[in-house]
Amino acid sequence: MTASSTRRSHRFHASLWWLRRLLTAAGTLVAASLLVFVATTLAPGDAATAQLAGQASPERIAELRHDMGLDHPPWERYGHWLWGALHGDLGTSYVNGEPVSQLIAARAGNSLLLGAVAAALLVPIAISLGLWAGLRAGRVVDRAVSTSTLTLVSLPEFVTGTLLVLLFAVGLGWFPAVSVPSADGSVLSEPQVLVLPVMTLLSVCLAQNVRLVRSGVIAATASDAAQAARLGGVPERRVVLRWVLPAAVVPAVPVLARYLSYLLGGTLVAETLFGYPGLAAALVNATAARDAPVVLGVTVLVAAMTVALNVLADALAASLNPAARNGT
Amino acid sequence: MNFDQVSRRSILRTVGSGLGVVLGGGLLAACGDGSSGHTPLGSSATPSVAPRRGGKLRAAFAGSSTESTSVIRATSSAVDYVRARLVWDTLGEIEKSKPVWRIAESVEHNADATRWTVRVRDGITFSDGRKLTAEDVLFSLRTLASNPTAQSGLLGGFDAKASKVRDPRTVELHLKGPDGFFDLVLAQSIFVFPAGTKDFERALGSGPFVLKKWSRGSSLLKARKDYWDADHGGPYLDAVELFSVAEAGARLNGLKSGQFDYAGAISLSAARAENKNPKVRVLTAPKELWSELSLSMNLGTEPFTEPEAVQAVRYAIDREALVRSVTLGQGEVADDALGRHQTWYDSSLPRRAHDPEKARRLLKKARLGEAKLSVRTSDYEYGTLESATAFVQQAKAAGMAVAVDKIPAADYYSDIKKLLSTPLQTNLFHPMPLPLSLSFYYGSHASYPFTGPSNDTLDGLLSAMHAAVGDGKRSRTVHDVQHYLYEHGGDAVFARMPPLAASTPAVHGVEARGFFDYPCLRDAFLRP
Repeated sequence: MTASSTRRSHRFHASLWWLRRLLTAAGTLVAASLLVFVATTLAPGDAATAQLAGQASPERIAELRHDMGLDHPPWERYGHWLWGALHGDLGTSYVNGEPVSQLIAARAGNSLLLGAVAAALLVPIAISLGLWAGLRAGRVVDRAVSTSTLTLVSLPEFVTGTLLVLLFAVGLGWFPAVSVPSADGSVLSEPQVLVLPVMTLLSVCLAQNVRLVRSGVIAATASDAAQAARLGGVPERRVVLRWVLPAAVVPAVPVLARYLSYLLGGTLVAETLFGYPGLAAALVNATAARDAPVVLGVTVLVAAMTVALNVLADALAASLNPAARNGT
Repeated sequence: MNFDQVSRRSILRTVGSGLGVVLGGGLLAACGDGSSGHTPLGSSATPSVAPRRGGKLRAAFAGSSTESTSVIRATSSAVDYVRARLVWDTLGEIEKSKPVWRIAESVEHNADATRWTVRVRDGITFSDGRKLTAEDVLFSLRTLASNPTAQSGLLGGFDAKASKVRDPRTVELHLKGPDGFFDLVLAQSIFVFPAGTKDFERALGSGPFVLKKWSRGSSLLKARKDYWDADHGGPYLDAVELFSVAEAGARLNGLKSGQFDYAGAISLSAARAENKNPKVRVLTAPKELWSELSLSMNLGTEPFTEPEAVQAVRYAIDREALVRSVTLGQGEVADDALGRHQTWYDSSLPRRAHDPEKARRLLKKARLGEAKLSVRTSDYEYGTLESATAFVQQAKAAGMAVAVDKIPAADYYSDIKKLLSTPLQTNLFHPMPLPLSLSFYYGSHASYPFTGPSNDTLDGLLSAMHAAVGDGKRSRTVHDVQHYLYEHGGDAVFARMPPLAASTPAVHGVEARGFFDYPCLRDAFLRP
């Protein structure tokens, strides 16, 4: 086989790989949307009856159901939604007539901001604490860091959040207990509303990452490379930065990445506990109101993010291991 | 009403909190239960506090995904309703179970109460300066009656077509049949907006505040300088900022951290915990606005087709114990009748004793022996599941084997057929004027007859009640219905629970005016 035919073969396999992954991703999204639609259809009640406060006449309920298109067969409704979604139209909310994409955009922005701030703090804090504890393994500092992070992770998220509210909002009055911006403000203009939700999220994510970095640091500190560097007269600070830190962080990266995905995907407990106007809270509200277009829109968006991340992870793995890509 | 077509959410809003939005009676302002030690608030309880002008009140109430600024959907959540009461005046309000007219100057009926004449107060203007007329009143009534609003159920007897404007200040309302209690209906959330309004999200109001900013979660209202009734009270505040916060605990934490001045709807346990906190004032609804807990027995299903079985359940309930455990001692005993402390209530109704032996004998008499029952319940609102669980032990002492059938909160009201055919279930009745609640829950025309089918006697008593005119006759006919239900009805109303709220000590002038959980902030002010 010539070099050019080998390249052609690789290109062909790569194209096939991408095609297969993209088709699988599209199929997954359609399956997810169908599953959610079936669930919302089978759930008791619908958006029309949910809006009528139990006092309107049956004729009026029927009128509203007709206006919403809820009197059409389920397959027809799903088809209509899917056709719109494929053309970029996620429909309008049954509850307030607002375009779903608009509602999602506002809420997703808030969720993303909350997750991004938490993620931006998580990485340096986890590495710093892990490094600090690892370099002082077995000493008081190490035990203090390990105990406190383990304590935090052993508490359910809502308990941690509540304790933070009691301490920093009710007790000290430093931060708002409820993360709802004022009517003439926004999350960006009132960043203090982010503090307690971010602290709550960090408490959940910190422990495992700190412990991973710590154990990596302990192993790297005792490694041959680090020992050789020390014997060669390299200052300890340089040993840590050049040999210990990289060796310690690499094993923690996949776990950190998983937590980042969690933080950016909408954090239900933190959002509901603090009343934060995010995507997860919107999904809970929409489900309760049987607002199927919003439920579908939000779940498909989250599913798309998850699928995209998985495809990217697969691509990365394939690039590192061509055999996997070639299916050999 | 076709019950098949009413959803869980509808009922949740209606039977749960929604009815409290539309129907009610009384005044916040009252002292708490003497035993609770809660601090009083409001005009009647704090007469020495002189109103002070200026400032912004920040208040948090429960919201929902259905929040909007629409006048015809104003009753969908607590925060929407509180806001609506500031933006739109109503024809009237309820105070101490009776109407107090606002936009209406007077309301009179003809001899058989089939035609009601509303005289509109002079000098009322909308926020754009336009004069409010009888035309606006009739348009608002027709709109509320013909749209899917909570008010439409109450206006079922209103003949929109036959009704007419007699002159710019007089509107003549025709009914499809006699209703001597239609004045109570007219005092229930009949918001008035300009005739011809098409965009209900931006309908103008004649209320003391104007909505300046709104987002799902918070809204800002500014006081009107030209409010028509300012000589008799508010607005004293410059602005009101309303926050939508779903969790009761979060609302209270927001209050305690200085984020809010007022927190609507807090829990009984939180009230007890904050009782001695000098920075928090716990507010209790006046007793006519307390919620009522009941075990509803469907008289059309076994074993409650036997009157002895119904009486046995009633005698098996240890009401004092339930008040202690379920209401944490902050409630009071009820005696199988709704509406205690309302002016319509017949206080001659006797107390219902706790007599497990008698219950046992009644069961034996009905040949029910060791009766096995299941009580359908849910934790969708505090009190119902707790009551059912406590009742299991009490019933055992009376020879009844009762099992708790706990339904997920989200599903409890989804199956209306099941709801209206369940032999035994818990209920939490939110306060409403007694004549309206009797029509709503009992009789052939009831919207939610939890106690099963009616009969000619009950229907006759309810018809007589609606045909009655004049306070004396109206009271007598209400008493007749109550006595019948006390003896022959299927509801074992065993406890009354106080709705609670909290504020900082600086908040004054917040009044229930019919709805404790959705109070009127018109006359509110801040005085540290």
